[in-house]
Amino acid sequence: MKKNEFKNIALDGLARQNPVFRLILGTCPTLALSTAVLNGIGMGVAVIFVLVFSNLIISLLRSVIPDKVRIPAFIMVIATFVTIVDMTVAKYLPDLYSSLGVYLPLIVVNCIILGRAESFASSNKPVAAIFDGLFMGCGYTLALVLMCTVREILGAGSFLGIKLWDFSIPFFSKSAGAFLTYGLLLCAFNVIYNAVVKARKKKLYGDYMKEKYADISTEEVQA
Amino acid sequence: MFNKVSIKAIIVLVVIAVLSGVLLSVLYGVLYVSEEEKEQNALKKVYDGELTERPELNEKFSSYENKGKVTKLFRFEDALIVDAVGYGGYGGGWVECYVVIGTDGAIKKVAIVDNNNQSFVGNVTEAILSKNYGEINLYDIEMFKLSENSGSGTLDWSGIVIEYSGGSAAVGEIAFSSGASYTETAVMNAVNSAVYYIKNVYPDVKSFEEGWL
Repeated sequence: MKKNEFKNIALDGLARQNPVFRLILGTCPTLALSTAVLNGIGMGVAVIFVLVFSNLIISLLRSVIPDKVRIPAFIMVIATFVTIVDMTVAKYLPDLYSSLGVYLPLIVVNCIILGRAESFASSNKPVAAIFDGLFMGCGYTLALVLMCTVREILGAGSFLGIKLWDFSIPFFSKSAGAFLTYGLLLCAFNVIYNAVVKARKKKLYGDYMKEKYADISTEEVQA
Repeated sequence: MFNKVSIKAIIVLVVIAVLSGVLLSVLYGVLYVSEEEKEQNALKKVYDGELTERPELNEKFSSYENKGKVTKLFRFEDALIVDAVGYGGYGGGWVECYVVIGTDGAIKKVAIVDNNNQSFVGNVTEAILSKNYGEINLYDIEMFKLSENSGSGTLDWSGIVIEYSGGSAAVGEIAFSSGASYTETAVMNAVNSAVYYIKNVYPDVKSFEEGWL
């Protein structure tokens, strides 16, 4: 895999096609589970595992699975890995298992995973598919942790379960607070993203123009 | 009826299903969590001690009117945990609690372990349970009951407006203050089921203490 391709996959997953703030996918667990940072990290790691392995298997089977039954086939593969995650978390992390509740098995129908299987893994090589799964998962986890941080600090006055102060705004622990936090972070992320893209384009365009007209003096250009 | 593409599709789906099934069967043997293990994990969260015995339940006193019932007992070196379910929760639901009782009959802790349909169960915090039931000796009270000063609100007393929350309560009287009064009712019924059971099986402190020998 070329360095450029790797860089594009990484940037897509983390920023350009961030599943939470750019593609607006996986909204249900994002809103429901983002009350505590530990829940966000747990959910994020589970999604990374499922994304990476389901992308790998689907990529390996991309020439075998007929087009007409690709969705049921993808769902079966994804469901297998979600079940593995479910059993593992139930055995080794029972507290996290009860915190995540029904949202852990619901990863099967998470749009991020099926979306990446359909749009990337089924038409790319396994190595690229693995990295796409990894960086999409990391992008999702980062977005989720950001949501959780805001809601836990403001809603419960704690971070990672450690009490910071007595002050808290219970509104942020409720559903309405989740929507408000999501909307504000969505807005902030896209404003910053657009500003960075604009600045980069300006810089690239400026460099290109300087190079193209390097031999012409300023007076000649003005004339 | 079936062309080559359809047959291929069926075969691929069946193979994926079979292989997934085989993989999951193998992993199930490794990752299986027994009911006993789940129970141990739940007990560890509530009380840190060595479980010595699971005493047999005296069915005669396990049901407390229609308000709750005791389902299991767990004996530790210096505590007895009563697994009790209380009815009368929100939407007709129930709450399951572990009531930790010391050898002298004092309630050390009440913890909610499960519930049905209690949307505001999160409001009933450990602090509230500790305030309502902590360190109360069940032989010093008849049963827990709702305090007349329960809840919160505003008193308009000759033009003087007073806002109150919870309210003071005598020992054994519970002042609901979480905003989830139905859930707190179910918790109180669960604790009362445990109190009813213990006081009927061990009528006084002496017999309860002797039960430890």
